[in-house]
Amino acid sequence: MVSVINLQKVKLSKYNWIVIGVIMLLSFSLIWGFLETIQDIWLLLLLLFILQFLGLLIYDRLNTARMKKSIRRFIAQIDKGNYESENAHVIQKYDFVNLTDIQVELSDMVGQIRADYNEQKRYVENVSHELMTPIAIIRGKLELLIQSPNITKNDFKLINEILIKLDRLTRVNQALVLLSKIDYNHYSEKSNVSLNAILAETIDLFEDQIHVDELSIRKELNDEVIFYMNENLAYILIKNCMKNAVIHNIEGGYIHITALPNKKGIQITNSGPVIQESTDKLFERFEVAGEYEDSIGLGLSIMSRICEVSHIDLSYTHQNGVHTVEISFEAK
Amino acid sequence: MKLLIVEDDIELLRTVLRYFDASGYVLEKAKTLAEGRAKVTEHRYDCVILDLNLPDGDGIELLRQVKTKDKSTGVIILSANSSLETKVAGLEIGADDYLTKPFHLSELNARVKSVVRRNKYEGDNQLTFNEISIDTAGQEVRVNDKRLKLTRKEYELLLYMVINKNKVLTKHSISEHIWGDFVDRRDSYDFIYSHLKNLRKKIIEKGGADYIQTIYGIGYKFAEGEVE
Repeated sequence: MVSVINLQKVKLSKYNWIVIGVIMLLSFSLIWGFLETIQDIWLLLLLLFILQFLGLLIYDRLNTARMKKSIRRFIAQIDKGNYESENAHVIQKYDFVNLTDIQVELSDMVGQIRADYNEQKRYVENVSHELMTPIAIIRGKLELLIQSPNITKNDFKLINEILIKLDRLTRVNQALVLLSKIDYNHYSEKSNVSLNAILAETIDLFEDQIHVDELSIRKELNDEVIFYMNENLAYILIKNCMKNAVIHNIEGGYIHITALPNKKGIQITNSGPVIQESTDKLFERFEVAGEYEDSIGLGLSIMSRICEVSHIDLSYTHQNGVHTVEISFEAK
Repeated sequence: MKLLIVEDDIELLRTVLRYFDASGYVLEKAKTLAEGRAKVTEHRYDCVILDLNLPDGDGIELLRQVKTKDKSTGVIILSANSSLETKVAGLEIGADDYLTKPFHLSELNARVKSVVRRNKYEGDNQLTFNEISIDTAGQEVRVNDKRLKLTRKEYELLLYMVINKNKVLTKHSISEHIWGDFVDRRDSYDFIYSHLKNLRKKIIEKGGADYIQTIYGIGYKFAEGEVE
C-alpha cells in the first residue's frame, strides 16, 4: 500500500475525485437531515472506508499491469536500438510519465545516445572520404615515381613494399567502413534476390584460381534459392563465401554447393587445410587462420554482420580439412 | 584530345596532371564548381574527370551542365564513396564511368580513353602500336595484318598495356583492372604472368616483336626497346 499512496501524491487520480464527491454528498445529506442518528453516520463511514480500500486495490492492480506493459514496450524499443527515429518525445508516450524523474533521466539518456550515434555515423562517413584522398595521392605519386628512368632494382622492391602496405591500408579502411554502414542500416532496402545467379557470377570471377589449383566444382541446386535481403549485401556475402572456399583450398581439391534439404538455404563444402583455431575465434575481427598474411581478417566478421541484419543463419564448421559453411534463411 | 579535371585537392590534381601530361592530352584544371562551370561554358572537352565533393557545391550540377551542352563529352566521376548504390546513381544521371578513390593512374587513363572512344561519332576504334593493331569495336587484334586469337583476359591485358604504353604498370593495377578488387592479389600475380607469357608467345608467332618488358619487383611495361 505504501507504494500506491506514494504514487497518489504525484497527481490526483480520477478515483480521488470520486472519493471527494462521495464525501461532499455525505455532507449535504447531513445538512438536509436525512441521516437521523450518529450510528448511521458511522455505518456510512465504515462502508465508505471499505469502498475506498477496494477501489484502491483495483486501481493499484490495473495501474501496475498497465505500467508493466508500457515499461516492457519501452525496453523492447531500447533493445531494438531504433535511435534514428526523429521523434524525440518518444518516451512521453508511455504511461509512467508521471514518474517525472525517470522520464527526465531516460529522455536525457536517449537524447545522448542519439547524439552520439549521429556523431559516430558522420565520423565514419568523413573517415571514408578523408582517408581515401591522401591514399590516392600517395599511390599516384608512387606510380609517377616508378616511371623515372633512374630507379634501380632495389628501389623498385622498396616501392613495391610500400604499395603492398598501402593496398592493405585501403582494404582495411574499406572493410571497416562497410561494417559501419551495415551497422547503421545503410543497406536497409530489401528485395527477393536469387542466389543462383550470384553464385554463377562468382564462380566465373574465380575461374583462374579454380583452373590453376585444379579444383572440381559441383553445384547441385535444382531450384532457385531466393533470399529476401539487400542485393548488395547478398553479393558481398556470396562472394566472401566463395572466396574463402577457393582461396583456403588445396591443390586438386573440391567445392560442393548444395541446397539444404529441409530449409531455405545453401551449403558450401570445400576441402582445405587442417586448422587449429576455433570457429568462434575466426569470426572476430582481425583474426586470421594459419599463415595467410595477405588476408586482413575481416571477411568472416563482415559475413556474420550481414547475416545478422538480414535474419540469416550462418554456420561455419571445420573438421579434418573439410570446411562447411551453411547459410539459411531463418524460419519465421 | 581535350581534358578537364575538376578536383578540389590540389595535390591529387597535380598528380593526375603529371601522369597525363606525357600522353599528349590538352589538359585544363578546375578546383571549384564555379571554375568548372566557367570552363565548361567556354570550351568543349572530350572528357571531364569530375570529383563530386567540391567545396562550393555538388559536382552533379556540373555533370548536368556538361551533358546538356554536349552529349558526346564523356564524364568520369571520381568519388571516395565505394558503395555500389552511389555508382549506380552516378551512372543513372548520365556519367559515363565511375572510379573510386584510391585509383591507379593507369586505370584512370584507360577509362578516359575508353569513354572518349565510345562517345565519338566517327568511331575511332583503331589502336595501333607498330605492327599490332586493335579494333576495339570488334575486339579483334591483328599483328602484321594477321588475326590473333586471344582469350578474353589476354585481350583485356593487351588493350590495357597498349593504352598505357611506355609506362611502368604495377602488377596490382593490372590485377585490379582484370579481376576487380575482389580476387586475391598474390594469386592473381601468377595469373598475370601466365597470361602474359601466352600473349607474348602468340604475338611472336605471328611475327610481332616482344614489347612486354618485365620490370623487376614491381610490374610490366609495354614498350619498344631492350629488355633489361
